[in-house]
Amino acid sequence: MLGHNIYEEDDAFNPFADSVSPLNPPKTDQEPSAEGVEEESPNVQASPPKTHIYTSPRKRSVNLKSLPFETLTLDSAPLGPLQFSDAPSMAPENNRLEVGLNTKINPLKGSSPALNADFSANKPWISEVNSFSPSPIGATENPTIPNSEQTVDTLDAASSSAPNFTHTVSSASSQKQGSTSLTDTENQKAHPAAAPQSLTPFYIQVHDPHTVKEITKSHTVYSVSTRLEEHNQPSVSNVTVQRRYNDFAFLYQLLSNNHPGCIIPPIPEKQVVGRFDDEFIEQRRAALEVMLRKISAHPVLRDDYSFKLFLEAETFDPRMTHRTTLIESSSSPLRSGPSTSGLLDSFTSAFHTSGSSKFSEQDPILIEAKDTLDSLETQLKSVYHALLLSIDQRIQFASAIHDFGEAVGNLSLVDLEPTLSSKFDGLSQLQVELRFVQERKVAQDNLTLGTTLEEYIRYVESAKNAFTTRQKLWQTWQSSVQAVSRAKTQLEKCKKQAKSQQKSLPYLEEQYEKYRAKAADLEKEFSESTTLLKRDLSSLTTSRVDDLKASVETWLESAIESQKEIIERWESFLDQ
Amino acid sequence: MSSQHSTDDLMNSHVFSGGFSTLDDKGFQDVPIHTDMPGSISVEPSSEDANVGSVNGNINETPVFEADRLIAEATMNPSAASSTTGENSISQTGSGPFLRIRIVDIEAENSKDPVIKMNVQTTLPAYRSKLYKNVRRTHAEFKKFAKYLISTHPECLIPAVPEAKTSVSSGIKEDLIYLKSGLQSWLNYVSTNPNLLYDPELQLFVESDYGYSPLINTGNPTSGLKRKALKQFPLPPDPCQALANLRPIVKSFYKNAKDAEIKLEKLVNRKQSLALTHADLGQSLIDYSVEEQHNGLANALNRVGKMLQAISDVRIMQSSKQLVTLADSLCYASDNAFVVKEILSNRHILMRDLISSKNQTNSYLSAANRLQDSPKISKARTDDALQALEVARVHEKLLSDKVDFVTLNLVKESKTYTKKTSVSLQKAIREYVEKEAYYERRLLSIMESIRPHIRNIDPFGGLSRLGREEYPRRLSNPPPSQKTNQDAWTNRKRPGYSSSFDGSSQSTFNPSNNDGAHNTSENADELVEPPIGNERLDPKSVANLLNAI
Repeated sequence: MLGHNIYEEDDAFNPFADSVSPLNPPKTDQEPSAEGVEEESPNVQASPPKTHIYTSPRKRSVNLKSLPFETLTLDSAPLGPLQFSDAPSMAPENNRLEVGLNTKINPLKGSSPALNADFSANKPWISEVNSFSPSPIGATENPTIPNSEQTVDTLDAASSSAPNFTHTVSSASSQKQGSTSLTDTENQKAHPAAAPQSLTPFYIQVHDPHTVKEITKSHTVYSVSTRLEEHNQPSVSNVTVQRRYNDFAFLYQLLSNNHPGCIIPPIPEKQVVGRFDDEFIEQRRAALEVMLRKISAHPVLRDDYSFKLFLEAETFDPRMTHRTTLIESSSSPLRSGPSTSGLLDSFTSAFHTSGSSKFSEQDPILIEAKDTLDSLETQLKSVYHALLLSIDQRIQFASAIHDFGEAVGNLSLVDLEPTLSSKFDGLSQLQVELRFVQERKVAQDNLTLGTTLEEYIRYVESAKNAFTTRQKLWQTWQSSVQAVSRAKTQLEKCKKQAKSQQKSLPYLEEQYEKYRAKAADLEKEFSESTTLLKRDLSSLTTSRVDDLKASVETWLESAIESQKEIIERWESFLDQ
Repeated sequence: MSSQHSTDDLMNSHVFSGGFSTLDDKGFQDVPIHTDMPGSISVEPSSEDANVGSVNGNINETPVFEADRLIAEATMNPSAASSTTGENSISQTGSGPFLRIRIVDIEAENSKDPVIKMNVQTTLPAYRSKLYKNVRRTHAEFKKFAKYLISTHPECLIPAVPEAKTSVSSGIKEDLIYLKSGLQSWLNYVSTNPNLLYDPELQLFVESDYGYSPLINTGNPTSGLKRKALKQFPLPPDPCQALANLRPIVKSFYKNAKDAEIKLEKLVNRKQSLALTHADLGQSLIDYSVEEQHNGLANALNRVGKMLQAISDVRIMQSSKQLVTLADSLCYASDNAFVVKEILSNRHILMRDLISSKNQTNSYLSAANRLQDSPKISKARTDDALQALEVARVHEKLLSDKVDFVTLNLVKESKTYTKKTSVSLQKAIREYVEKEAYYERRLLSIMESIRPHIRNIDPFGGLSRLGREEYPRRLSNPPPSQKTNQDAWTNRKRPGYSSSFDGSSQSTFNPSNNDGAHNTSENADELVEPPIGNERLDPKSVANLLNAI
């Protein structure tokens, strides 16, 4: 109770920020942090060490989430320079608070099937995040400038028009170049740079599947509705577009190509037979919705231009999107890498130089992760196969119950004696009810364990695809390195020649510098893809544990409730 | 010349009447359902015909008349026997002589043909002794005796002999218990039925020292193909409405009971297949938990896997009980219905014989009338016609009395049969439903026992605490939802079971957690057989209960 009172005082702090005296803010900040540590520390100690390891990636996400309010506070309060001196002592306490927040966020992900609970539960977390906004005020002044730029970019991105997107890309690339010169410590502080986007939740809904019949073949069209809430703006934007399965598949390919090393939330598998059954369409609709929700929850994918086009553009035409991508490539220096690689490939083939080199993983963490993925896939498929066999047997069991009920019903029609006939009739009715319970159990098994196991089997395949895209990026980088060495050789050869033949020296120097810049960019991209892959693998492990835990618990509770109903059926018969 | 003609007519008349009455005598006495020796049936009538021929070969008239008198005396004996039976039944109801057969033990070295040991006590004068100890008969001999009774007593609804073993071969002790109660019930019926008590075969069954085999061959002409042919004819008009309605009811009951039993066996097979796939799913989850790196999830999945295997074991046990309680009862009821149906068919055959006899009497009567109107009145011919008419009338009355006797007994016995069938099947249904409910409760107890492991995957407490994150978490396990007399999910009082199951009381539904002990390391054996917990009112359990409320 005392903690809640302090939080309420923190909520009241913002409106009166201008009138607070210089001495009061430090004391107010210290008290809630101390109490928070006392409250949350038992949870941290109670958890096993591995759980602590799994919660560590979320420190960044929570840290990211809390920054824009800090920015607003800094803009509105003139006390920034004074709080800067308190930063070193506040930092470890903030980490502990964030760990506590991480553990509390767990059930939100677990409850993703329950839409109402998710909506109602989300807003209190946002308010609690608000209550923690004074704590990170101790951050240094240096990130303030890029934060303000990022805020402006976020506001521009909300309007979702092409010219603004170009501007966003330019500012993002310049920001990344600037961050290269920072040290590791400053680099960690620079991670909050991407924070503002992750705080604006997307409410994505895939609904209203209907079949469109054409002359040669038919396909199913889904409505995709997006609701974007900006806490800085009172307005709420709603967009609804029509998409088909191929559009989702194309979106997956675009995201996979644009973000090597990133694990893209997978799409359901393509199916030809029985693809217009109501049950199949409903399962696919649910899987597509989960895919879009997870893309919107990813800190990098949610800002992808293709994803925005998918959610908002009236027509998601593959050709148009391809042209747009080319336009982006020509306009931005970062995106021109792949096209330049194409030129390098043609240049290399002209000289018939063997540029193929075998990729061998050097990072022990990724080697272990790959092996873990392989064994995980085997086990998941084994469990899923056993579950499908069990579901099939239960369907046949329900059919046998139905047949037995019919036979007993026929016996009740033989009026050998009225009392016996009524008993047989009651037993027949009982079998009908038990059959319905068994059929509902089939649906429960499918929707809880079946859906989750199938989803993570596809997720493992998507993770392997991320390894593949990262490997291709490495090969592109190696080709670029070879091009650099060839250009350097030509340059040195030209320098050794007589001065009369050095007319092409400036051109060769320009080419050499150009190739070296490309190689440096590709090396940085590969390093970023490695970091992104590691982070996504950790996120995948965490979300897999959360989803499996939620589905197992839901499956068990539904089995228990079904068992109680079965007991009620049998014993109600005894009361007759 | 004229005397030769009269002699020929006289000889023809004797041959015709004698042969017919002989066949009729055999016909109404022996009406079995099955016959093992059809070849011997055809031999006897031909030999009797030869005897009649040899008798008629003598020219002397005096032996012919003596033969007629002998036949008439023979036909008088059954009616005398039936009147004697009536007197005996009256004395039986007045606490007269009795026969008690009690099964002592069943030896089952040969599972297909067990040996039944009986103690017999009787006060009937025909028996050599009043007490017979350790009479040994095999199950096959019981079946032979039942077959004899069914074929020679059309007035009794003999119940079927229960099968030597139940549908589930395991648990020999249980099989013997069921067999013993079934055979005891069968013997009680035989030894208390006044129509069967004075049968010489029953005495032979009790007194025979070297096994038992029926003395009288139960073969008869109306069996096999001839019986099927007779059944194709329309039924004779039945004056008794109750029996006329009973046969189609019993026939459809027999068919539907057989069908229900087959469907129940199929249901049990499906349940066993489902249990096996659940065991495989459990093993897959256990294998997966070994690979899982998250300790909480690995432990939870391991528990779920073991729970599924325990559920599989309980389901297989449950399916065995289903077969023993209801499937076997339905099978026995259908066997009984089949016997009843055949006995009612025997009565129809008797009625058809009676109609034939009436037609014959009418033909003799019309022949006699034509002789009276004839201008040439011959004393010898008239005497022959009158004697034939008299013989036919006697035979008709005999058959009519037998049909009436059979009808009266069957009406009485059909009411008893209907009542007993209804009571036994209702008892079987109740036992079946009680066992089903009992095993479903065990499954619920097993499922609820792994709830704490699911909720302890992480320190947060699982989905059950969604929206309650700010409240302090109770580390105690949730209480079981099944209590001694009242379940947590309903306000209906639990019905009292008629018998205890497997020697365990109803408190097996309460896990030992209710005693305040936190057994988080239960193994699969403990899951299958939840420990019996006593309702002790110690402070810990009271605190847990209050905390739960």
